[in-house]
Amino acid sequence: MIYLDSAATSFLKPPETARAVTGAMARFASPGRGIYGPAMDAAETVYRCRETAASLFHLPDPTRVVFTMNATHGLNVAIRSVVRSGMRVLVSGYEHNAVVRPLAALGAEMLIVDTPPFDTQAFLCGFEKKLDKADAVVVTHVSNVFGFILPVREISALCGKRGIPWILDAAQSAGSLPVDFTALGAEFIAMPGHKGLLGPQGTGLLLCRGDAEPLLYGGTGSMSDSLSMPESLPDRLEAGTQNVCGIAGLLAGMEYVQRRGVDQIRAREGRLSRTLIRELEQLGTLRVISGPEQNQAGVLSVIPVRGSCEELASRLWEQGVAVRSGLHCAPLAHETAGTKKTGTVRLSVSPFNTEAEIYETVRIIKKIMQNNYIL
Amino acid sequence: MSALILFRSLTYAQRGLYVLSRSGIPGKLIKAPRDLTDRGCAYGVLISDNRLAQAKEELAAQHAEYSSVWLRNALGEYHEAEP
Repeated sequence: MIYLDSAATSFLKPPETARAVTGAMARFASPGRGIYGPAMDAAETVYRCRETAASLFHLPDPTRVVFTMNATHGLNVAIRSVVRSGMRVLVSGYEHNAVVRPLAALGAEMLIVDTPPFDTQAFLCGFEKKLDKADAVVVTHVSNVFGFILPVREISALCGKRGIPWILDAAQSAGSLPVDFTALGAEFIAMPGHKGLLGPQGTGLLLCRGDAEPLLYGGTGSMSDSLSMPESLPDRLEAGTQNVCGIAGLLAGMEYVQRRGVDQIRAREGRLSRTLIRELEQLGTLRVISGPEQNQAGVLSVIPVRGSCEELASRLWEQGVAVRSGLHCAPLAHETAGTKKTGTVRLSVSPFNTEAEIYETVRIIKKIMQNNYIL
Repeated sequence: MSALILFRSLTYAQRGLYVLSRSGIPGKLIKAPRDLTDRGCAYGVLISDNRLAQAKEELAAQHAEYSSVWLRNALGEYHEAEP
């Protein structure tokens, strides 16, 4: 199999991740629920994972690192902590349903910066124009459909200047691009553990600056006499038994990312993407939606000039290539880019893909397109 | 004698233990006796009482908040120390 769906889940992971998960199942009890060995070993791993995340994302205080089920969970907590009904929230035109659905459910009014993909100047111009009307901002770091890297440093500066709280969705960037919590000044940064951080599914991180409202209420192993959730993080947001096996795997994944280096991962994914874009553009049978190298992460969308995206994705899987077709849970991004009618075929790389896999994928696509692939 | 530095949660206690460990102050993470807190389960770091002053300085320097400090005598009895 050639796996090119890492924007959904990094199926290709270092072997340490699986070893850590199975090792944790054999050795760990619940952290914070007892003082005996297996409970304290679990607590030690959970704390090391917080320390590692704090180091990777530049947080001075590891108690501000909260474990979640995924980025969606973290975004729900962050949005409910910052946004109230009727507030005007500025978002990019590239947000995932993990952002727009919680905002809609809260009754927030969304102000959308719907500029074309990869046009950073147009985006910043549109963003600044609408920012003065906004009470809060939620933006994705990287579009999960097109790989468009949004200018988060400039967004941070503009929000900071006006004192507007903002939330960053780092679902596609954590582990693949530098994410500096201290420098960015966001109230919250949400990320999955199972994508660029190379952990297992069911893990995520929420990095917190501001006060947070719990989504779940229950036992935390602390302040047990109180009917209220503890005020302090991370306990305030971590009710119930934690996913310690997942967290052990996430720690192994993050340690791998630290060892290899985010800059090195970014460079490798960039090289693979550029090869893919160049070769696919030469075929002439696909619309390849790409931008300048510095504005695009390892995510690429294409649309076949004939036939549907779903058919192309099916044929690719028949040949052993795993990609995703459709709207990718981000209809807003397709509205912004004008691709909602067709959707796209998304190809997304990881640091474990090879140049040979990229060339083989292009060869297969070429063959499929030559042989009139319509089912 | 030893000193027990009490924290509001396990994570805070773990952070405290790491800060002390990096400063060369050995400590042991324990679940605090129930009667030392009126708010339910709590964790603390047990250290030698002659390192207490240094420990408090290191924790303050690293913004590692603790809630109270207790001295434990040879009989295992706790008495709250001056803040």
